[in-house]
Amino acid sequence: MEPLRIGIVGAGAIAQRNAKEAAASGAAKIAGVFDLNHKVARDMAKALSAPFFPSYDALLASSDVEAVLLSVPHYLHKPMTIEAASSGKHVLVEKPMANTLDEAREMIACCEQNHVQLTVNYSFRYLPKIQKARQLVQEGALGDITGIQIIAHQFKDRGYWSGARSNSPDDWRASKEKCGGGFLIMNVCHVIDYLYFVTGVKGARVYSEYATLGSPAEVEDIISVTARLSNGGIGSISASSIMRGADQAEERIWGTKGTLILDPDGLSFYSTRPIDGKRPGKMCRYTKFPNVSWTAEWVKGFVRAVREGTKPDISSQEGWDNLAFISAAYQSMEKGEPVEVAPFPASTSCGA
Amino acid sequence: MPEWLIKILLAVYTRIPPSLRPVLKEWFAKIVLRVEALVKRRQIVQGKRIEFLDFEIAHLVPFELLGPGPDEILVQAECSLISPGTERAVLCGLPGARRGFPYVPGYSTAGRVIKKGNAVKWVEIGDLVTGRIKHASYESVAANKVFKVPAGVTAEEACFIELGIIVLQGIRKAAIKPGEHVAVVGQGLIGQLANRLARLLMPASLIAVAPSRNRERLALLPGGADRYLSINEDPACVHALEADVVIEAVGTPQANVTAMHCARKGGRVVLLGSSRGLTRDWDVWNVSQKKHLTVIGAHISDMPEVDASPLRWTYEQEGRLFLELLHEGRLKVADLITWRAKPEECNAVYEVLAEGGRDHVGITFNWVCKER
Amino acid sequence: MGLCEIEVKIEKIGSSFGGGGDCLAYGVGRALATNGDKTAGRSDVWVLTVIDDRSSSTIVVPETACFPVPSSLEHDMALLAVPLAAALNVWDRLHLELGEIAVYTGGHHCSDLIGLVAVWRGGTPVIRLGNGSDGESVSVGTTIDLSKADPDEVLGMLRKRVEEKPGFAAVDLSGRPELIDVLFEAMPRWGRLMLAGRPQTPLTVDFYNNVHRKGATVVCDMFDPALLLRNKDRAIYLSAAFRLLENKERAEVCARVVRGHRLS
Repeated sequence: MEPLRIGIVGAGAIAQRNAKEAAASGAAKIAGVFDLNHKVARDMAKALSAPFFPSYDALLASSDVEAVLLSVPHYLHKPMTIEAASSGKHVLVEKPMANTLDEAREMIACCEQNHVQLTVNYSFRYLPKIQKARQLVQEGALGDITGIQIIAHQFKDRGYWSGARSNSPDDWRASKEKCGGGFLIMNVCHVIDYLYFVTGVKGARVYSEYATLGSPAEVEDIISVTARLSNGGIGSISASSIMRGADQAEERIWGTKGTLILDPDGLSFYSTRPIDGKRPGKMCRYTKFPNVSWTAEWVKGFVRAVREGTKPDISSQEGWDNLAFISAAYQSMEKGEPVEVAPFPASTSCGA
Repeated sequence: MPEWLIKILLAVYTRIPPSLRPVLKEWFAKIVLRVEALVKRRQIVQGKRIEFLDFEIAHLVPFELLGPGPDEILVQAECSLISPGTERAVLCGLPGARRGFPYVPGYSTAGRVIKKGNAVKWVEIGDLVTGRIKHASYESVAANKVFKVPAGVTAEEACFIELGIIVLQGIRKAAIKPGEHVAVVGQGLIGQLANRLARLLMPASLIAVAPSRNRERLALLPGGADRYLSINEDPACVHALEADVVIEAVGTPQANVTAMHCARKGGRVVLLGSSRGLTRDWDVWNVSQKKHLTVIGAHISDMPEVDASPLRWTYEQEGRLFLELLHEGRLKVADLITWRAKPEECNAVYEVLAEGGRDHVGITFNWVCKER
Repeated sequence: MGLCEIEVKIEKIGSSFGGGGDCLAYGVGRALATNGDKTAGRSDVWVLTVIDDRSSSTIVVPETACFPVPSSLEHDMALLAVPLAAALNVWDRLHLELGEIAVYTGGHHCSDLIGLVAVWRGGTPVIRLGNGSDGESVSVGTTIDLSKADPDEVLGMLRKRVEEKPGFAAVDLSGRPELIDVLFEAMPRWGRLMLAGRPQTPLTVDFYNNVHRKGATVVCDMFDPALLLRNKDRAIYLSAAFRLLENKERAEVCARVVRGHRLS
């Protein structure tokens, strides 16, 4: 398979990681680097032995660039995707797909019109732990899913909000307009995505409360969400970025026949059925997984889709579904009422 | 310590469970200090100092230090001044100021010489000195790195030394001429000190500019600004200022541009605040080139190590001048202190600072209330 | 015609290739009449002047907007005095000293004239940052061609040269963000930089590390030779330019490095 020639847009820490993994996957060749911060872009281009482009337009004008990988602040996802698609470039965009569903709709329509592929970086799906969880669920370890619980608590120091960990410090993460939201859209979105992937169940109706109680930001730093799932089950999220000294990260999925727990060190499951060669009625634990680059897998999957003209593993629909759930959560709090999660549009029109 | 030994110790250290590391580190430091004391024949002094233990956590902790070497003096702190911008940046982990914890803050302290090395000639025991000394009850420092405080200047005033030098070098670069219009953007401690020092150069007007009116009262004290403008109340006020000289003393990337808006055509903008970050979307043509602005960087590290030249004096020269201005009564700073705290209160003090400092400007720790 | 005004018959017009500001023109012409007494009744006095009205070959301008041209100078040379004076002004404002590194960029038809003046002021070395798209140019000093080299390499080369020198002054005439960024990055402590080209997009600048901590001076302006005629010190700079151009050899070099300038 001919490697996809990707232009890297944004040279922050995530972009650096994405670019390195993409190049190492063998499925891609880095065809250029652009960032408004020329210094970091130059350094990155040098490290990747790729050309530096002083502007996004110049990168898009290069015939050597077939696709762009956008690791830029959320509010730029839409305009930069549209610009890239209009230039005939395929788009790999960081999560979340956009800040709003209207933006996402425009992105999808524009990519369709220009016959380019679009994928969103929900690559945690490729983590062996997540793949294993999906396999267990598909083999019937849990029976019918009845409940999903996400607990995600950590502490983001004040410097985080002004981009102190970035090589291009900026306060966009604290801005509702630029970031679209806080901890939910920035971090928990990954968990929501891989639980969709593991269970095949999505959120259907959402109730939420959120607030900003301990951060120098406009966006939420604590949120609680209750959701009716598409199969009738109930889900809940308790998340915050203001829990000091006691991080928590655990997801539980349970069903009529068992329970599965994901935590940072591995996964555990209990099933009334003999699954994966394990004795039923006993908690089993998996902690050893092969070392896999989830980003490389994501890129490989996308390149395959581009070369074969098929739908990418993580397509605009996955990006939409995730954003639709998150948007519903924000709207629920703002309206003070439950909100139905918007389904993926059957057809879109390019409003760009 | 030789490199090979450091390598071995590091290799051992990484094999120790993380939970045991702090205790072992502490014991290791104690042993090293004792060995050093034996070898150098120096006393071990018990003191207390402020440490940042983690993001937004300050605590007064006991520590040990070696008594003074031949060229050193042991200073018992009387008063130390918080440098709000720098210390808050480290405490909160802001861009450009990420440091490991624990971190010992402070660099502007006045205290008495209680012991001195054999080679120290120019200070005597009992003298009041000031300089780059941490927030600590005792510190051994090189005698030639501190300033002797002139008679009549109190420890509370003298502890402004480092901040005074920081601002003096900026005011010098601004080259303010009598009769010019001066604006000082930002009214934290640096901004308020800039008001006072710019005022000495007889500007026709001195306008203090800040987002809120929290610091208005202090800014308009005698020796300070003539007028105070709040950007929150009137965002457009900056465009009407037309200052000959603008001193930027906020220390955010966007404040650099705000300061440029305050300048007249052909004006000078001195970047005194440490903005730590990238200034984005600088419309250089409309904001700066059409106005023919000159932008001048002014950080303490810009000062020459030796030999002054016009607009650039050395650290020592600025320090001596600062104390001279205090001594002559041409400069007053004690009224800028809004919180005289005990070191034991440091946790609460830095909690307030982390949240933005409320309306505080000068915060000092007074170390001589009682023996600790 | 009011008091202190001069009627001038314009013979030659110099182009203003300003950085995007008002399009100014200037010309050299014969002073026909005046209400003052310096040129009354004389027709052999030639002046340089700003031209506000290009529609007429004879204009009336304030005496203060005119500058007498030495009789020994040809008209082309008189016109050349304007960009030369502007170039002298640029390095004066940056206080370029003998032995300091002087860097300038392409992007203006007078770029190399500015480079030439840097050589005359003792800039050592004088370095031109540019690329192939600058078109025909007569480079003075060392040229670092950005179109061929990797920008990081360019920065490395420039830094190496800068490290060896006690002083640095630079002028950007291109307005190109990538060149401006290289200049900011390469600028050492106490460096002086003039942004004299018009950037088409807003810039992202690390003022903290590249200006504040370096104690640098950044002069923001536009390089437009015609503006020199409105400069309060124009007499000083034009006089110096005339004196320099009176030497034929020097004048020819100047004419050669100004793109588009033709000797008549």
